[in-house]
Amino acid sequence: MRILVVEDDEILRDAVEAGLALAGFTVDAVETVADARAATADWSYDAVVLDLALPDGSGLDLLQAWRGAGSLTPVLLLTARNATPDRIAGLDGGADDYLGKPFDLDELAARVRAIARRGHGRASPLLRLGDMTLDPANRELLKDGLSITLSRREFTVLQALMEQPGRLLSRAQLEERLYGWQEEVESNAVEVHIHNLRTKLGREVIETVRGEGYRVPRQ
Amino acid sequence: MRSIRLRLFVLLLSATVLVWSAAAGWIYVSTRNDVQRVLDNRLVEAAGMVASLARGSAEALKKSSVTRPLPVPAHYGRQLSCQIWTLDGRLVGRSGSAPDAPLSAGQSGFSERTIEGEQWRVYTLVEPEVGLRVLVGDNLKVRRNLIGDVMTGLLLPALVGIGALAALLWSAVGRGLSPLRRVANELSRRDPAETSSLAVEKPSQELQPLVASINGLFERLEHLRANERHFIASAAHELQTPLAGLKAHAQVARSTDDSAVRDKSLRSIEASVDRTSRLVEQLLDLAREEAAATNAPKWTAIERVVHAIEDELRHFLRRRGVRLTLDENALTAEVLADEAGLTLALRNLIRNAAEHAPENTEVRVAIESGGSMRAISIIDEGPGVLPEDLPRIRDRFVRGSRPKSPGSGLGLSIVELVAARFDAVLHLGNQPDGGFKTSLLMSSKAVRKRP
Repeated sequence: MRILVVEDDEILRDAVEAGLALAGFTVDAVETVADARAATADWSYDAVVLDLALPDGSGLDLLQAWRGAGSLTPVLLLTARNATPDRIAGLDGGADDYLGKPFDLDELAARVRAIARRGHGRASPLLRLGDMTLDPANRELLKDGLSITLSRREFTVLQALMEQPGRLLSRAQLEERLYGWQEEVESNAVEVHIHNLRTKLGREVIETVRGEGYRVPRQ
Repeated sequence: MRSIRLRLFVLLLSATVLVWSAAAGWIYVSTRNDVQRVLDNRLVEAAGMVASLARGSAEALKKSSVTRPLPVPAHYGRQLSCQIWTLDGRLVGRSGSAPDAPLSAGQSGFSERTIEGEQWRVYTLVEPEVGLRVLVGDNLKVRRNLIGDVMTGLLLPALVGIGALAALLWSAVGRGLSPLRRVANELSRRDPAETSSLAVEKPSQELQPLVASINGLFERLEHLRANERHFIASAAHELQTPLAGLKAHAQVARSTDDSAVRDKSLRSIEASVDRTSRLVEQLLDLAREEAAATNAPKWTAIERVVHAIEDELRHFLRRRGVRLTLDENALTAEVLADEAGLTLALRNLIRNAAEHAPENTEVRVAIESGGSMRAISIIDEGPGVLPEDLPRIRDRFVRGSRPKSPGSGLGLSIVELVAARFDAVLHLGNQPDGGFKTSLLMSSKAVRKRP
């Protein structure tokens, strides 16, 4: 899942970026309202982690602008202002969740997974497809009740496909899920991951639509 | 006297007694004069009457040697006494109440004399044709009793009246002071933390200034408290972010397998601890400065202060690669200021400047003149402050919106607070040729060349 983190404090931003990457997210991090606007204009995110007090404006105003423009991207507010009225203002302003500083990284990751899941229209934390069950929180894949070991990137590709069975994802869209801005995109990486997944799970698990992309068949 | 009621009561009662006593004194004097005049007239008339009676029987009287009392009506006997003497000094007649001794020495007119312990006022009438002298006298005790009776009749009701008046005054003063008591009750009922206005309906005219100033005080108190609450809340929030960073980095360092990621997190933890310490240090500076009593200003050499700051920041300046220099006029200048305050203000300004200065540049300390003002200026070669940030950059916990602005957002607040103590004003501005200048503006009287 690709996440945008908007936080002005450099040290905290680095920590959130590193922590969410460890939890299996692909993370882009920006510092200002202006950068956040630019990032969301160019990319689509599964969720946004938004700090309220930003140097060039309020995160709440930014959120309201997004909601006003019809954006449905789930947003988790991250803020030092943690009193009940602040939470209410945040949630009424269009946020999906609220987390006060300081926070636990695992909790942040869990909450981001939860809002992203709901953003995709699912309530269950587990993704199921045929005899496969994918657990994003524990980064675990079960097939016929047996655990199958996947690399981080393989897992990310499979998760992206299983989130919306039947929907076609292009190679570019999958790369977008795999790599943050700072990371260098390896050519053919997507093809390599798809190949490995088919080897581990069976050919029929992922369909190739020639020249278009990949999908997992709807059951 | 601690009680207003008692004080008013005593004052009112004393005034009443004083006025009444003066009136009684006046009445006493005028009554005594009136009684004396009326009774003296009576003596003159009585003497005339006795003389005219005696004239008819003068020869018989002269021969008589009997001191038999003359027949005088009974009720006169007690008040008037009468003696008839021959001119050669024989008593030839007297009334029953008169003594045997002569009532007067013999001259015509009024006289007073004491006989057998009793005072007499006597009128003497000499009749030379018939050779008799008529003396008519009043016992003064009787006169005094008369005046005493008049005064007693006047004063006795007044004394009873004063008792009644005292009771009335006591209760009236109590009632008159009830608005004050209501305000006092309202005040004593209040919670110490309450700072809303006093709920006194239509305060009396005399109480209005009191109620208004109490309410004004409460308002200022509430304002101060709101400021304080806001400040404490802001300070707590300011600490939350670095704490969140610390915790998150600690978690990353613990759970990553990548040694490069772990190293970066540990370095970040270190930086975050530095920043948090600085914030705490500045909060303490601010708290100390707000609580401190102002020291008397004295002439302080800028050079000494700047060198002390340079010593303190030596490590920081070296790490930033910034040199601190003093202009020639700053080397010889002295400032009339509280030294500790001046050091605190300049340290914050110099640290700010060094934080924003590019590596291998100078931060200059200079004394500048303009009209009747002097400025201690700190000039750096950094990027300056965005124009839209300038108006609000002095507010607490506001940092410039340039990315990577370090600091707590408290430094300039501290400088302003401290500078106000030695009548200096903080001025901020970008330099036309790049760089940023912060100045403490002071009166030229407070800056001089070292003698």
